[in-house]
Amino acid sequence: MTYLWRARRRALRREPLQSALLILSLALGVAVVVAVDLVNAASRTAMASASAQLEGFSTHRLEGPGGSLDLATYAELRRAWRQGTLLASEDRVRGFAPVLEGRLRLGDGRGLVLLGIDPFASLQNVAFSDAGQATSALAWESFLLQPGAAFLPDGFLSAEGLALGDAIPVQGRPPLTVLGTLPGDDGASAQPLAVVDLATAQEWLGVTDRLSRIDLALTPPATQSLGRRALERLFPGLLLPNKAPPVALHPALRARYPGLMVRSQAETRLALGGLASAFQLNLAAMGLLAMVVGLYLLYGALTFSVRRRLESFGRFRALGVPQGQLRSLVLREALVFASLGALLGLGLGRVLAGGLLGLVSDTLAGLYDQVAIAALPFDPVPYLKGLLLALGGAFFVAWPLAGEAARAPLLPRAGRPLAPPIRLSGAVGLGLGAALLLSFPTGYLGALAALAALLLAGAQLVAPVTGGLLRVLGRLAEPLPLGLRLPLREASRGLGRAQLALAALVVALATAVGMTIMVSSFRLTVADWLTERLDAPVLVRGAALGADRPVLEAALHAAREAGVVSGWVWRQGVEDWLEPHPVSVVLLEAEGRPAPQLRLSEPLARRLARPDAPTLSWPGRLDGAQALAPFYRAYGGGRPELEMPRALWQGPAPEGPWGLAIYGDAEVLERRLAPILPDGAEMLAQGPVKARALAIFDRTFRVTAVLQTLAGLVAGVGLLSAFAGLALDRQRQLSALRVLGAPRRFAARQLLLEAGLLASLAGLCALPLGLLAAWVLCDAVNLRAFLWTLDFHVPAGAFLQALALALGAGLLAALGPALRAALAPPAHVLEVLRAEG
Amino acid sequence: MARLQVDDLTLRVGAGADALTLFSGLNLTLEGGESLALTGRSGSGKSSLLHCLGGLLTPQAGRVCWTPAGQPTVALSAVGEGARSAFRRRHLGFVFQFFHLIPTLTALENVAFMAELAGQDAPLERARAMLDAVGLGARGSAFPETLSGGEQQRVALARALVHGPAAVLADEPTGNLDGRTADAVAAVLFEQVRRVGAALILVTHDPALAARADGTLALGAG
Ligand SMILES: Nc1ncnc2c1ncn2[C@@H]1O[C@H](COP(=O)(O)OP(=O)(O)OP(=O)(O)O)[C@@H](O)[C@H]1O
Ligand SMILES: [Mg+2]
Repeated sequence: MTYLWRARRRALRREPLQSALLILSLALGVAVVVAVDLVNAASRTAMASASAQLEGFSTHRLEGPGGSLDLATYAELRRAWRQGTLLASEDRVRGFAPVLEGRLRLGDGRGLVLLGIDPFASLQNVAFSDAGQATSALAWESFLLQPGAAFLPDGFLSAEGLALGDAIPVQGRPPLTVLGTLPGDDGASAQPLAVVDLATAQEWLGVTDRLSRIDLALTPPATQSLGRRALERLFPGLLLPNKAPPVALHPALRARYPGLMVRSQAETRLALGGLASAFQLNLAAMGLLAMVVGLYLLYGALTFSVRRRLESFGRFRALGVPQGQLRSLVLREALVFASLGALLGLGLGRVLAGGLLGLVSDTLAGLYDQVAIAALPFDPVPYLKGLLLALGGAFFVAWPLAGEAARAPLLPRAGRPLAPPIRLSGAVGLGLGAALLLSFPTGYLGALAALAALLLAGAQLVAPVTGGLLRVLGRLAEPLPLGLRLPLREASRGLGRAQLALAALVVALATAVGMTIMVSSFRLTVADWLTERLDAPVLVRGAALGADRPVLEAALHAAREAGVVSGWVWRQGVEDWLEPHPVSVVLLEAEGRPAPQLRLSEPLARRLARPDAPTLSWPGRLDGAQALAPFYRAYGGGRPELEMPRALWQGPAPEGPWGLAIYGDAEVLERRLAPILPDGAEMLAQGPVKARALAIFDRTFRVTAVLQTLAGLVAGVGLLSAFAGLALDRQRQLSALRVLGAPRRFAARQLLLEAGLLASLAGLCALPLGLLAAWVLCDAVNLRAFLWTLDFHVPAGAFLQALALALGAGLLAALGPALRAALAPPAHVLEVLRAEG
Repeated sequence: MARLQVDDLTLRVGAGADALTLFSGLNLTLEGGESLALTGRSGSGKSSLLHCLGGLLTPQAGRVCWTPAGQPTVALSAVGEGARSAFRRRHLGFVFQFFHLIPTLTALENVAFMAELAGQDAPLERARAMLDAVGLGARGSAFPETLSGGEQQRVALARALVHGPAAVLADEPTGNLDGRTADAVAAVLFEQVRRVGAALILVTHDPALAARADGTLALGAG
């Protein structure tokens, strides 16, 4: 054994580039997996920590219309809570905590969320940090009695260099004083948030007659199943947040306070997060993909290394070397490569995660302004996962190969093919599996599994398809000179060596094409949706609409007479139940515009499982069955919506935020309306709003592009190693041709043509596969995960880009060997020829 | 008629303490249609001399001058590498001990490829004729893997001759063949070289083969 191993080590040392590239491709694969996991886990932690700071122990919130509750209602609700008649369900309400939330500006202009709480009822997780000396009774006393005493997050205080007792300047108000800290995960969230006494909040926000909401703690808090938790740990971001079962108010209270709603905190978070979930899902999927590509390359490299040596294994067997030794030789080699690759990959992954962190943090900040990731928390799970993946993968791949080595034929057989036998049954099986997953309701995880199966099936087809294309090209090229036909022949032969690297390239490219198409479809759909939503040049929105409406209305009529305005639409929302779903009802009133219709949003229509229903009956809200227009697109996440003309609505009157879309000359309108806008209302031009929304969208998907590039890089390194190997195999032949008188450039041209041919044919294979992947992403994954569909849009550039990338990667990978072949001095040529003798 | 003239050739290989002078002051002339066998024990520099003649090795001193029929003289030891490889593909044919046929080209294509490389027109027709001449007309569409060693070497002979070279340089062309096959291949080699009017320089350990040549140059003897 030791001699076998020693001989093998020397042989490997003679091809250092091959070994280095194998280790590098494995390391890059592991690095991408580790980095994506680290970043995903960090962003999950940041979000959890941000919500823990805002929500404390509460599980639900009770909100009035427009996010406000008057104090009389509060007293009534509190009584109901004491009597146990707050909710319709049997859920016990452990905590009932009034909250007044608002925004202040810090001295430097940054926003600060002010959370006013009742310290005796609070569900907030606050800590008095003057531990030791001062009794906490004293601290409580200051919290209650000293106006402006505030708790702030640890992270924020340390980032700002603030200590206990320091004053924090606030614009237009007296400063706040740091009394204690809000614990947060280190590394996560340095968000500006201050928890103060209700009285302080009232004073600082200038609101005394109402609350923002009541936080509730329901028992038992929803627990996650063990399997779900494990899955979340192993593949952070792959699981979408669980939808808590809706909780309804007691019927008596619902009848009395129609605008009142109970939402789970998770649902509130989700309201922001349609896009955020899509983003995390994307990230997790890309991590999985990089893993598949990395394992594929490992498989390719090991398979080739063993198959190539079968003859010598046979000779060893003929000499009497026991089969067990050959088996362990192969396994040992695989594990050594995998360990080296994995160790390098873990380090690279950590570095990469640091680089990605900024991008991801930006994205989160764009989606939720409360979340920031300051640093990567230490988390061993991604590292362990990467290590296990590499070692386990290597073992899994090497086991059958070890068997093959141990059974190597004692006598070499002539014409033995180097290429692994092509098994179409694998591709067919995977394709069937994908079809089954897609035709049964297997959820978005099923759709993702189908996507993976399709990509793998496609990868299996790369070699036969490329081989077929090469044969066709070979026939077409018959009239060409042999010097040009030779690369076609050699490419066919090289397919055996390069096929797995090419398959990995195809998987990476197809995913890139699929993702590009999906993101571009998504972007186009969202842009369309925004255009439809924001078709008015001017939007006005405000918190509550009272006596101001007639004033505005009069101004609008006057403007219409003056020809400045052609029409307008009022919109105001009501939160309600369309059993069994909590919904947002949008009531529309149009003037000089097409009459609004009763329509469901797509997610609601799908949730009600009747996207094509012709009518809607809603007792107490609508008069009988009303005709339904086709559903409309909505990509906001959160509560599903429906919209209807105001006149149709028979439910409680809308209160709270309103919007007004005005059609006319934006500039004139702004001049005319600005002076009469009600307090707190703002006027927005359509352009900037849309631009901002799209900017957030683009930022969200920028990370995906980076990860696509990385996956491509992994595949590129695989290609590099495959083409270097091909050149090595060709060395003697090319040397002989040099002796015969072929010019230097001949060899280089041959190698480049071969590589370019193989890579661009692989690129060609990636196009239909990418289209298929895009279709699954758009029509299955998105639909199942988010209940929305996307308009399929194929940017022509995606295909050209993939082809160019493939060709470029192939040429680049072959450039080194080609140059080496061209620059080899004649003496080297002779040496190569001599070496065989 | 082609002509080879070698004057005062000196070749040293290796460097420092390992430096070795293989030959010095070597003179030699050869006319088209003549053949010369290079003999000598292993390591005496036979292959190295052949490589000097083919412009693959540069001698430290002396000149290798080729004059292809009806063409100006080329001092191969004095021109650049591009010119040498151009000279090789146009005016020289090589036969290797291990054949070195291109495995992805058929026998016919292997031969035609050389004609194409030499810049000749109708390479396939020439190749077909040449394969017929070496007695392999029927195996043109076979790939090298499926041919026997002797057949492969005959394809290699056809390749070395298809473009009408001034000389064929053969390094142990029968070294990898059994005795009977070796004889047959040698017969074809001499016959075809004579037919084309090329000079032949062959390295061999086989006294019988050396005896077929018009002259013998023994290296290493001093
Ligand atoms: N590049 C080189 N560097 C060092 N020594 C070399 C080099 N090329 C050839 N030699 C040496 O020169 C000597 C002659 O080599 P050559 O291949 O010409 O011998 P040969 O007569 O063809 O032998 P054989 O009959 O075994 O083929 C050998 O000792 C060889 O080791
Ligand atoms: Mg020799």
